[in-house]
Amino acid sequence: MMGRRYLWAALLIAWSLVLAPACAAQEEMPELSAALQSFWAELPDEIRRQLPDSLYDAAQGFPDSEDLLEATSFSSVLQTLRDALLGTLPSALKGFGQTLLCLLFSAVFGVLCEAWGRDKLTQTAQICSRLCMAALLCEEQIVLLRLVSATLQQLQVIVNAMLPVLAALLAAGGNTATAAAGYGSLALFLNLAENLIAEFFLPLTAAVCGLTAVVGLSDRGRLRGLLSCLRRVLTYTLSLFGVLFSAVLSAQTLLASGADSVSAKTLKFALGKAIPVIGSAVGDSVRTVASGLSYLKNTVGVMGILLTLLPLLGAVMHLVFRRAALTLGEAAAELLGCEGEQKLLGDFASINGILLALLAGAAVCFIFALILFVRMSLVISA
Amino acid sequence: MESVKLCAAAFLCTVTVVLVRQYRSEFTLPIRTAAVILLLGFGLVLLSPTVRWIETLSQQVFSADHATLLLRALCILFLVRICAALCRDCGEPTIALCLEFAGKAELILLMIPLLEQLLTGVSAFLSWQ
Repeated sequence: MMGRRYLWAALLIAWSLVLAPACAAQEEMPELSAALQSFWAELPDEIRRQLPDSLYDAAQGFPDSEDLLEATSFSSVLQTLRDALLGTLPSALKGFGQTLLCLLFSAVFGVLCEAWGRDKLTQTAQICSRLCMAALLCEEQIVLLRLVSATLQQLQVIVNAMLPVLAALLAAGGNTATAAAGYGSLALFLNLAENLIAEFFLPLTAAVCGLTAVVGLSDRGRLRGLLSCLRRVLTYTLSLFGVLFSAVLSAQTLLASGADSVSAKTLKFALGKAIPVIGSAVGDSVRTVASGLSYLKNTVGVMGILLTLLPLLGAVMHLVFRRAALTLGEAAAELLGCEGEQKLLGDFASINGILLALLAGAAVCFIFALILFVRMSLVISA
Repeated sequence: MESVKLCAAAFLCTVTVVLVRQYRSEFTLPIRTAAVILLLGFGLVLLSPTVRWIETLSQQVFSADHATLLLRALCILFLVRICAALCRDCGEPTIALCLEFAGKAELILLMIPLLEQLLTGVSAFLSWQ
């Protein structure tokens, strides 16, 4: 598994440095076919199914430049994104249906139990319904957490692989002072940020998830204080990370920002509202990300951007839909009068929001690291 | 409408118990028990299509094990409640208390597979790497 990730990391770095011009020249590279096949195997199923057949064919090797241009045109990419979105929807709707049905059972169960009085026996019976809800939520959350963890590990592998490659290029080239002074520190910061998200924030979020499931079973638990403390630590450190990230972004001059526009401001506002804790930091970076992707497109082509963004797409869509389903479930629980289940669903929805924030932060750091890598390699070789 | 018949049957049983208590108090318990069984049976017959519908729906969308568990918990709760109430009516609160304790124990026993599933998930969360 780790071997495949390293292979994919090497593929992405090689593509950005070497292979984009080679593809344009239509040279044959048989060793790349195995790497591309591994990359395709790593993509989530719902993404791979939506990719056009002409994008890659193991039998025929690289497609003609015209076919590749058509397959990677803006309309094709939009259609792929739309189909991938619709492909993730059924599983999200099924998860929402299960949650709603469990809520209906809990509501009817609670009403029938309380018809006989609110004593210890009724409370014990009501724990059954909360246990069902907690077990269902835990099962789905583990699957989602594994997906996010796999995505973050993939990004971490690539970003960790960039530093030694850059060091080797620095040693081989002659323009060390200029490259190291400006680019080195920002590359190091992005590397640290990526590792911090994968190695600290994600396990802490998983621990908060586990405690939430236990605390949600009963209103009289003694772990609520510990859970609040952990959540506060997670939120404060994440917001501190967001502030630091915004400060570094505003202080650096290597990654240029794009022009301000209504669409950029709208996207910034939407991201600020949709992503909790570090939403404003991610929103502030929208213009820089947009100009960086434009730079990447001019350097490595649309294929390079697809290689960058496709593995992120599956995890992001799953998280967005799951969070929406949990929020709707929380509203339904309030309507049905299931207070315990309402709190449980609300807590899990906020945890998924934090996971979305982690993924957004890691994605932005990864895109910046990639842009920096491409620019640094060009400066070194100048 | 079934409710009218149920109300009529319950009223008839209550009047019978009150009358019999005046003359032969030792017969009130069997009559009371018979009335409870009759009314419960009527209720279960009315409930059976709903239970079948819930089971069908749960197999399609929800986990069938969870739905079965909740239904069993509900049955345990009803049975224990009714029997405990009968014991109290007969002047035996201690027996009623012990019966409720046994009911709680059975509910906890029912929850063990779910608790195992939840604890497996929680330990996976807490040891995440």
